[in-house]
Amino acid sequence: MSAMDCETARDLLPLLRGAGLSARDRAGLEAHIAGCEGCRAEAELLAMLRRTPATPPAGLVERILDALPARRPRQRRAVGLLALAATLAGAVLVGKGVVQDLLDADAPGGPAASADLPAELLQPFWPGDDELAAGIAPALHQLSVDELEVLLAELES
Amino acid sequence: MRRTPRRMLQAGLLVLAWLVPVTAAAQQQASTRRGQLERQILSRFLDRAARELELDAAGRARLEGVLRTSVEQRRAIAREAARLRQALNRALRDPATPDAEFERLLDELAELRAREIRLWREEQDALAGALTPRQRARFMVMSARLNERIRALRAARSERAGPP
Repeated sequence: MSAMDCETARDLLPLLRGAGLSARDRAGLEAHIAGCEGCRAEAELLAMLRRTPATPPAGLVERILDALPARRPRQRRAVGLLALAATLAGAVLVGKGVVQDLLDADAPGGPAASADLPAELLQPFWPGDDELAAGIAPALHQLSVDELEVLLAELES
Repeated sequence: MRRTPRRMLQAGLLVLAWLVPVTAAAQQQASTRRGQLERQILSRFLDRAARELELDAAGRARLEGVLRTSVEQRRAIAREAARLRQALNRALRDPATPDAEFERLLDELAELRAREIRLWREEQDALAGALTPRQRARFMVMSARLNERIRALRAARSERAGPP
């Protein structure tokens, strides 16, 4: 078995704890860590991060909540049966929209866009949006239908 | 004519019966259009790649297979990321969320990152089976340019929307 290099080892380090490594890769990685101070330090850092309780910093939640638009007060007054029927219709439609969002979670305007926190605030954490890991697939799911039309026109020009 | 509650209820239900299928049809139409556009864009992009990389029909077909697989898998990761984002939002908003729950969610996030890295390696292996190293490098640049354009379109949308 050839010795594993640092680049490969660091790619595989996040998988060391779970079941994502083959026996061969695991053995190679453990052998590499045993002999490489830099990668051992990286592995210890990852282990420490996993052990650290994921408590948000003091005040972070409050600052995020302050940045959100205020909620509307509930409207409790009954406005007749027609209004009730209209409300029912609205509830059905909104409920359908929510279900649709869950089904099409990657579509613009889906949960990624409508979640409670502004998407940009947490963007760097989220897989699928990161430039380094973008891969070869065009991220078409991030575009609206209008933007897809624009892109298609550009590719056809 | 005096409108009785029963008549008003009937009217409301009629509105409801009309609205639901109309909205469902509109959503279905938009989804169909989106699917068409995505297929057309991928096809145009593959045409351009085949031309620039001087691929024959078999080479283009191999590249298309790799690309379509990648699109589906990355979409699945994006779905998972959206679900995880929602779960983390809920956990952050609830002061009673235990540390164990945060740890579980962050572990899931780390696993999703690892999955993404594995996918990146699989894509590279699959590309290596379809393209020469030089073609692969050129295709990576083409993909990066297309994704840059996609980011620019998204950024323009954010600018139009303005600050929250």
